[in-house]
Amino acid sequence: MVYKPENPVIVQSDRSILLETNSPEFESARDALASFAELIKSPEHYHTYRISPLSLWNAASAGLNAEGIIQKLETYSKYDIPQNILQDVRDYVARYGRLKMIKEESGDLILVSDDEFLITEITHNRMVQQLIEVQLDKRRVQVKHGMRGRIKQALIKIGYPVEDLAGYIEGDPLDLRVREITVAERPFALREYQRDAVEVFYAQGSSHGGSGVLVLPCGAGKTIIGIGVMEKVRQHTLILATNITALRQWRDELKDKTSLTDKDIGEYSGEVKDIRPVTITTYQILTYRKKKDDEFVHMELFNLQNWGLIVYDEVHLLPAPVFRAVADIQGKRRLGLTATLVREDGKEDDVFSLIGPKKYDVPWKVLEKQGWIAKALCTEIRIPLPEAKRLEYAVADAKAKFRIASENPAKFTVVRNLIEQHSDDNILIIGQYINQLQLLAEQFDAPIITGKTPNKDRERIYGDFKNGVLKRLIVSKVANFAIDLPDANVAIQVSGTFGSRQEEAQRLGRILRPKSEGNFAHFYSLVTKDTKDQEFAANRQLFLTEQGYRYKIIIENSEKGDNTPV
Amino acid sequence: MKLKSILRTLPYKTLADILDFWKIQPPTLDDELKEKHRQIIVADYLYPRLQNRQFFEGAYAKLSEEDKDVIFFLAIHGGDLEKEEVLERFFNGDAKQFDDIVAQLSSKGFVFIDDLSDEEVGAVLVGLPEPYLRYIELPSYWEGYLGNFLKDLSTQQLKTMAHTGMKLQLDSVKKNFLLSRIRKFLLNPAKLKEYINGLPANERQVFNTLLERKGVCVYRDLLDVGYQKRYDHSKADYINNLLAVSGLVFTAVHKPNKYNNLLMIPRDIYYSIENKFKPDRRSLKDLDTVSLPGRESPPTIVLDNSNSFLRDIVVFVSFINRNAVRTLSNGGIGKNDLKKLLPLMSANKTVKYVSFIALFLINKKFIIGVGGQWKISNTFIKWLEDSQECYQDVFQYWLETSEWNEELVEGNTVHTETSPSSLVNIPEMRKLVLKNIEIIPHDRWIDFGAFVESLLPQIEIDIPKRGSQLVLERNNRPNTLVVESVIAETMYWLGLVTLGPQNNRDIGRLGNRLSEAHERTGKRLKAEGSQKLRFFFKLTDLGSFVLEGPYLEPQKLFERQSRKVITPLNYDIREFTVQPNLEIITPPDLNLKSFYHLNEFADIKTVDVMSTLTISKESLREGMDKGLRGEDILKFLNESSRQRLPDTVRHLISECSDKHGEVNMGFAGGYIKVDDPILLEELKSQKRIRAVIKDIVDDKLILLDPDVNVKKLARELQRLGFMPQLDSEQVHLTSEGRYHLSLTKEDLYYLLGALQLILAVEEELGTSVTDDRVAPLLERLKPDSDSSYNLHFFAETIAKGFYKKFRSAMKKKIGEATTKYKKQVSRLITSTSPRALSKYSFSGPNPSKKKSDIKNMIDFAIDNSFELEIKYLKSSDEKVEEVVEPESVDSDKLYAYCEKRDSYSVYRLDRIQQTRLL
Repeated sequence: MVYKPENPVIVQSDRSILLETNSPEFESARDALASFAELIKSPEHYHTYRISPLSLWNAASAGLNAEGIIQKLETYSKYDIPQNILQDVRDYVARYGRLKMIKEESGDLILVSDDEFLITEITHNRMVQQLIEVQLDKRRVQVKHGMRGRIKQALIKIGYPVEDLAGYIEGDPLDLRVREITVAERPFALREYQRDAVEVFYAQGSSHGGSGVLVLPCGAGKTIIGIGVMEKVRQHTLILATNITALRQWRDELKDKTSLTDKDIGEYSGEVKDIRPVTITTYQILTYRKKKDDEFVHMELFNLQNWGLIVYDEVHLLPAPVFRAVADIQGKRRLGLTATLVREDGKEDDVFSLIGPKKYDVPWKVLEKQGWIAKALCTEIRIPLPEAKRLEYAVADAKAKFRIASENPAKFTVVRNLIEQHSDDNILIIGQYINQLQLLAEQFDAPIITGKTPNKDRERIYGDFKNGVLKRLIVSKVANFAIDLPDANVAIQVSGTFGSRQEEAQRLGRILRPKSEGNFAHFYSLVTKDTKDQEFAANRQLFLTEQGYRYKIIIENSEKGDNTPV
Repeated sequence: MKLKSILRTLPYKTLADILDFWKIQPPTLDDELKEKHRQIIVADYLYPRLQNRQFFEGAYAKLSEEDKDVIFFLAIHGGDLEKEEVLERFFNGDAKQFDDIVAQLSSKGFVFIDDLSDEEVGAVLVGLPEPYLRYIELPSYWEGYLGNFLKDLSTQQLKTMAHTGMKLQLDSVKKNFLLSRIRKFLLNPAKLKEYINGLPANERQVFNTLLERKGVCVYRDLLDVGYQKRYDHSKADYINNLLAVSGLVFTAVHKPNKYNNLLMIPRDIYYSIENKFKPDRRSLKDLDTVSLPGRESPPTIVLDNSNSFLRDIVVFVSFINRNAVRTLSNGGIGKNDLKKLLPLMSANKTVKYVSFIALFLINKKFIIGVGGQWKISNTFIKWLEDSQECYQDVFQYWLETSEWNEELVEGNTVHTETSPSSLVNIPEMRKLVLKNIEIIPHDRWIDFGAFVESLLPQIEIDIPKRGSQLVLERNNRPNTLVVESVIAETMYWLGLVTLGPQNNRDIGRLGNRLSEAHERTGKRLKAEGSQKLRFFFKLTDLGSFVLEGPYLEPQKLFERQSRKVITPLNYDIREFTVQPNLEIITPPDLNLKSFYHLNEFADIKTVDVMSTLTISKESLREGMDKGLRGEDILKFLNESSRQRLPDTVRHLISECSDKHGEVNMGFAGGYIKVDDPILLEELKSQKRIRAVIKDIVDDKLILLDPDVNVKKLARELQRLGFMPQLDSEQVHLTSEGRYHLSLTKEDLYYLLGALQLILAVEEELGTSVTDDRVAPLLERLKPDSDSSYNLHFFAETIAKGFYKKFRSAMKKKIGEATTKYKKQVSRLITSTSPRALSKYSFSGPNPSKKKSDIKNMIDFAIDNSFELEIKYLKSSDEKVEEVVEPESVDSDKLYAYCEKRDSYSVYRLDRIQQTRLL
């Protein structure tokens, strides 16, 4: 058995790959792995990646070949690589590029392959058959009109990714230039990796580019890259954002950093329905319908203008119903921006086939060096329940138990201590129970934002918080994920959870920005000891550590009330 | 060729090269000697030395693979071949390559050219000196070629064969010449064909029989088996003739009893015949029918257990440790429990694998059945110290045991009903398999099917089934499947071979079938299922290591350092990684003891190249229940962890150890409850009670041990003067010597009722009917006594109750009977008395409007002579109402008497709108 102890990669026969973090080769191995494997979790000492057909197809579409991938594995692997993995790599990579889609002059869409058996196989598949107009010869098949997206979806589901070279229908022109000095009077230019990403995506306008996903961790400047792409394409653009705040952020950035003005940018949201050369909308609006069986009224937005480019922000959050609409507009350039390709609903293959393959990964090193990775320290502070409350807790029903634990009065002292500790920082306090939050607001003289706070108030307060005028802000989590949170460098969660695990970790990643390089952002989770609070915290603990955050635990001493770590 | 003569033909330079290559000290030579003499001296000097095994092996080991291939090719065919044949078959006609390589090999002292062209035209031979053939061990699938057989014959025998049998004209009588000529003759298809056809009829018949047996057969099987299983020995003559003279049949394996000799048609002759007399022009690669044919690529599915086997054993034992696994009555472990273990084992394993491990552990008494449950013995943990010794033990167990027999589909002979006596001698079988794998080059993929075919003759001879041939039970499997089990199961499990099955479905089926065509259900599969499972196998590094060592003496396996391979199974790493998300990741060579220790308080998630375990509250609790302490766990993790232990893990463990023991649960027997704590103290001081106290609660409650006989204890307490009140006890003796009865209410009533009855009887009879002992009780219960019981009341209640029950039973009985009779009666009544029924007896609606109801009503009216009032729609569409007496119905018409009109009329049924019974 081969054994190279200094190597950091361990390839296992179940397609998982372990990456040792404290090896000297760690960083170069990480960059190598990211090109053909997906990061699943990254607890401190061993990160776990996974090879899947999709990750391999993404690699193939970026130009890697099987032997190249295998060589990378062999370079960094500590032990022998299991035979079945080598086989899988060769097998799956080989499948990419065997099927291409092209457009003839007549406008017909043709699937071609050099492999006659492959054509025979796919034409015999029932799902695919329905989408085929006619078989032209042993190697070419004509696709039914309007089925460009569907057939790609169907083919990838049977294991054959299609290289879509059928080109695009140009949209209406748009004159857009990136400013060198922003409206806020600061110098501006795309960073090098941002320019790289744009180039790779645009591919000089050829059919080799123009559709795909750019994977960028939080803080890497997705919006800027989106703007860079828009500058290249120069056509009417539809931007889909996750929610209204993100929508406003896009608009603000566009106004600040490009030649576009208010008359060029339209907002299509719950409040306004303004369609302009650049229109920004939200996934929410698109998937809105009055009743369960109604139509999605706003989906038509896709067809209301001759868009040249459609930008899907946070494409991993693209709701399933929107895919259908995406399938129908395959003639447009499509840009997906995301921090991760991993979806909770497993529809990664739809992203691949309908939006496009992964085009670019930002190297970690670049981001780390520039300080754009949010470094956050998580601390769980366990606070005992006062004696008086213990009996009440013991006899309460499950829902009430949670409330009693969450509203533990002893938490207030801890909050005060933390505020004192971080008197210079932007502190965000997050909770679930309005009463508790109101008490906090009173005690610490900070404004509260709830689901009921009107948008303009919210924006004003956020603005103050961002500018440093306001140092403390209290936010309620009641209105689900709809509320977006501003950046802070200290966050204190007094109760409640964020939602799905991935959501929560993402949120943390987004809101926590260190004040300056070399510092840490802090996340405190206040948890009542030996209660349901602590049980839920265990879950959070698990996925935060798996996201790679450092995690500390402190036990509050009930008598003294100080936070000496045990 | 003869070594001495060939050496003498070599130039001096070549001899010097040979000396050099073989690292033989050159002889001291007089400088004045002429070259010619020098040459002879050195040749003769070399002659004995080249035959020395040590020198030979030393030089042989230095040869390249290509060199060895040439030597193999020559050896297969007996050592000497004509140059043309070698040129064609081995060098593809490339004369230059031939010259180069042969020259090289000559300088290395292995292969020489023997030019006999002065004796016969065109006879140039190339070959190996005879003595070398002794040292070159050929794998079984390369044995049996014509040349190889011929070389073992004496020159005289060859001469006889050539002259008498083949009628060849030969000029030389040199052995290698004869050999080569005979070969040339027999391997010329045209001549061969003619020759065979020219055989005497009887010999021809024997030869054909052999052909039918694929060219391999035991001697006695060629003799006719007569009617009463007696052999026909006349055939023996023909056989012997074939052997002695024909050159077509040879004895491949000699046995003490010649009837057990294995006879064989040389493979190349057989090949020629089978391929319609095509000449055999196969190259070396083609002759290698066992290892992977060059055209095919290596298997895509590769299974290797060499790194997981010992870890799986550890996982197995820790499972037993943490779960209550019951022993079966036959001393084994239940299949369901084995199945539970399967997900914890390394990938691609079957229940049989787990069963094998179980058998080993039971045999070694590492797990012992105690009180119906399996427990771990302390010896196991000690055993884990040295992983290599562990392996030696398992390997030895496997090699020598008959407890596991690969002939059985289930494998396990101990915990089943099959007696091993009729099974194959499995240790011998295993050794035979090992021996045959050993001599195949270790880096080759071997085609199992071809391999086992080459073994079958050996098995037939060397490993007969025990017991009579006629007693082959249902469980006996053909030899191919037994060997398949040995290789694809036990050897694979032990990490000796890698398997290359063709697809994933085959993985669980290999070795696991009753026969080629039948699955366990005994049903014949469709054609595709009845094909043999094809697969390849190869020695692992571990397997190679083992087979290079003294594998028949397992305890010495690791005593030496292998030249080629790093000594495997050095499980000496003691460090692993603890992650903040509560995962523990261990390297493949983690010390087994540490690995076991981890399994005591953490759960296995996967066993792959690395193993991953997780710690949770539950797993920690299970560990602590078995006696582990939180601080010990922390200490162990701190020592073994490569980095500082994460907070999350530290806190989880301290919390669990704090909580562990906060709530205690267990089993208790009876209890003693007192009102007075002083009384409790007194009771506690009683020796009899002190011995059985489990726990005391709050000074008022003593919990007793589970197995205390509470009644007995209560009686003893009585004797001591205490007056325990035993609940649900029905009778006890009071301190005054009286009986204290506790009866249920019902029992009391019955007793009193019975007594009342007695009293009544006595009164009736006027005499006493009971004896004196009951008298006082009766006295007390008499109605006019001043006792507090009113007997009448009780008696009455009882009597009432009795009567009530009687009545309801009667009612039920009568009711049932009544219903039955009611029906009968009503039928009777109806048939005799027309008007016994009233109109209310009609089951349908009255009046009836629906067609079906109308019809029914009409029938009813006819049957019972009722009058109907009908609402009728006349043909003129006039609606009328009439009272009629229905007489009969004919298809769709009603025939009825109308009193008013005093006539019979016919009514159409479909015009009757309503009928009403009057």
